[in-house]
Amino acid sequence: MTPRRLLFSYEQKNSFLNSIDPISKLFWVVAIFICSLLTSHALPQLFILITIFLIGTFLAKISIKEYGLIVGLMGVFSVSFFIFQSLVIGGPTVLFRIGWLPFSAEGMDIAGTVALRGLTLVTAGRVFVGATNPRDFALALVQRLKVSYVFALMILMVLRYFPLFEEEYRELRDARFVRGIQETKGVRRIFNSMKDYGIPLLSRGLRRAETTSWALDSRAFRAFHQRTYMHEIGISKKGILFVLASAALMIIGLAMNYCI
Amino acid sequence: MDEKSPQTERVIQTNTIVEVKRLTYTYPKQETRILDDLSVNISANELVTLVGKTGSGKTTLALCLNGLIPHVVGGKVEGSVSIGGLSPLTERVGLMATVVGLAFQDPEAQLFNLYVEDELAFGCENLCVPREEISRRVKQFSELLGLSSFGKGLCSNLSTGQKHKVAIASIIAMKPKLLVLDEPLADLDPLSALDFLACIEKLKLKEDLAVLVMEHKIDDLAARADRIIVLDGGRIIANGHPREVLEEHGQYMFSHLGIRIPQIVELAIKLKGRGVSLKPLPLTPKEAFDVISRFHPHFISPPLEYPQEKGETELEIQELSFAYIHGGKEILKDVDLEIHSGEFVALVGANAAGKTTLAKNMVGLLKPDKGRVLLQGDDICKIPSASIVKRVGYVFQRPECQFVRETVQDDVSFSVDISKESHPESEKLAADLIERFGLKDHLNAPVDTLSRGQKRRLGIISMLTLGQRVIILDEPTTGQDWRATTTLMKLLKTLSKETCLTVIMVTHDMRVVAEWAERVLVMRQGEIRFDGRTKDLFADPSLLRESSLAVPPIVELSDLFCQNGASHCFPHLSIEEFVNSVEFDI
Repeated sequence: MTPRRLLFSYEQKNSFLNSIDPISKLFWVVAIFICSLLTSHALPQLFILITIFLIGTFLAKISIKEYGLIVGLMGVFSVSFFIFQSLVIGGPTVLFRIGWLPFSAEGMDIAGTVALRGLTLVTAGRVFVGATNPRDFALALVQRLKVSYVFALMILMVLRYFPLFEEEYRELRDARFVRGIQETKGVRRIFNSMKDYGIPLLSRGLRRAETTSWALDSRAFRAFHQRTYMHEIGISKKGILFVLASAALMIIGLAMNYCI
Repeated sequence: MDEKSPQTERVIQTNTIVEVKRLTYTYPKQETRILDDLSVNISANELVTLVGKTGSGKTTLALCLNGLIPHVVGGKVEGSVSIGGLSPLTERVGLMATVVGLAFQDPEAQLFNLYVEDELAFGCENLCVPREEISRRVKQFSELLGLSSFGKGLCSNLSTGQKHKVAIASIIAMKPKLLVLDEPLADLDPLSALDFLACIEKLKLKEDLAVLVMEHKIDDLAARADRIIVLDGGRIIANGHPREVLEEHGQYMFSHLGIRIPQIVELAIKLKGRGVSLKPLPLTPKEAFDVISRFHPHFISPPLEYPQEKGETELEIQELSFAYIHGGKEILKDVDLEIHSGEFVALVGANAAGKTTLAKNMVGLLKPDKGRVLLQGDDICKIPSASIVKRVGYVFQRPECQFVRETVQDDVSFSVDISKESHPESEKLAADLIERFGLKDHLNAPVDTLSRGQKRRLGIISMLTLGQRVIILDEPTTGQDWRATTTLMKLLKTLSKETCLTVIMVTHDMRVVAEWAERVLVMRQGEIRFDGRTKDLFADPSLLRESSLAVPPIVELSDLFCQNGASHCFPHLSIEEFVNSVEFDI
């Protein structure tokens, strides 16, 4: 039995951000997204990014290693994008040249803004997901934002069945191994995988879907208009304070943007 | 959808919970009646076991009881059904859920939530039960089914047996009047299965519950059930107290329907053939002991067993340790082991003891973190995968995942084609195996249409066609009736004797272990706690208890005679052994 973590790595931690309600965190992450999109200079964008890193590190106890592959890859992409765009965009104020290639202040500012924006969005998403229990988030959507419970359950079922899907894929791969089938490499492998694994996984999934739908009916799912909940998700005072404090920081960021 | 709270809607007028009258059912686009003029009543506080061979209509009846038939599945229904005053033929499935709890065979398909506690609460939430009451029920039923420590855990981290328990606990928490369980014991280790049955009995009394259990193995159920119903071709052929039904129809159920009747009843049938009629028919070892004692039995010494010479070493495991996550919890700890040519070995232990993990390390599907696995003398990590699969075969619990072609013939030919160059005899070998395993008449059949037993046999054929000398079977008896199980075991035993094939089976089925395995490896928390002869294992009750293993009834019976001073005392592992060694002073 392989112990599994949830998709996109929510982790139960004793951190400030883990302890506040999902709706406050949702407001926070949406505010960051908006603020980041409104920012048109690299310096305030960097300020927002640093703020998120500090919040993630100190309030969500996320270590550098835990920011993980997605943030890491985004970092590499952002640097490449920055260099390429700086050259492409250009501008009158040339700061330096590498060989015959000119780097202008205007080009670097615009390219830096876009590159940092990408990194900001991904990092904020990582902090939010890492500190928010998906069950609590789904319940909060239903109980506080009046989203349909069917939609919330759909999200939960996708997360619930993902490890199972992964396990069944592994079982099929192992079964093919014991039959003496060697995995092909390269592009052909992708095509073969779709054919060899896709169809059995799909047919098994469809067969299971029938029982799942029967089992849902058997447990009175949607039998009545309303339903009760064992967990009530409220909006905490701590959460409101966090949103207000973050909003203040975002305002500083935006003010910097308009002062430049 | 209904506006009223379902808690006020339940109307139970009499003690009879289930009333089925002349029920006949035909699936859509089919003409054969799956249920044929079936009538049955079940009362509160009654535990009823429904038995019948595959396709006899058990699951169909269950679907009729909660309204999935006809509302969802469709088809043609005649007759009437009433559950707690509601008719599933007219009421919506959602409303029927207030009185009928139905647990399906596949636990994966009926867990919808991420966390165990949410799954337990799910049904109650749908029924609008107040929050405090939901929390109380979740606590109560998770304690009852031994799930308390998993409450905050993820469903996906549970074993299959635990998932089955969660699904059932979630249904029980809805407080239905009728609980229908489809093969609830299939994924549980022997002691967990006994615990589970004890829980159901307790619950039945405490909650005034009517319980209908559909099972293949009724050894433990027969003594606990208030009634047994036997289905054959959609008709009830017997319905009554287990003792009466088994006395009158036991022989027919065993030899014609292939139902795994209690081992003690099977013994009574065998003894009857020798002129010893056990009356009243015993269902448990204790009852059998009391009845047989009246005939003054004495046991003759078994023929002396000479230790067999060990064959070549096929598999050697040296200080093997394994964890799924680097630096995480070790699933296998310092396992040392040698398995020789021609041995018939059972690998047993509680759920999550590490059995399948060890088996997968033996075939190179998992690589050890520490230690070595030597396959016919070569380190499994250093030989190419093509060579591993020609030396050792592995049959999965669901053999259908191994089929790579559409028909039986094509699937076997696939293996033959792979091995032709290195093993020119493979074509002849495949033909021989197909003949032995009784699939000759199904060569052109699509693999999907085979029965579970046939699929298992096909899985074995395709694993032996490359000339493998070792075969590992993961839970080979799951979901099979006793006839299919016995046929499979006989075939493997014959192959093992004739061709020195080494058979290793991972199993929970202690009756199969007792009757067929020559050597047993008992695993507990990743370690081998016992490695020895089957007889020696069953002579060590404390080890069995510690490892969540149960004793087959025949072994328990022979142990009772030993404890009561019978001469030439030794554990009998099978009915044949018992019958051949007992003599009576009638």
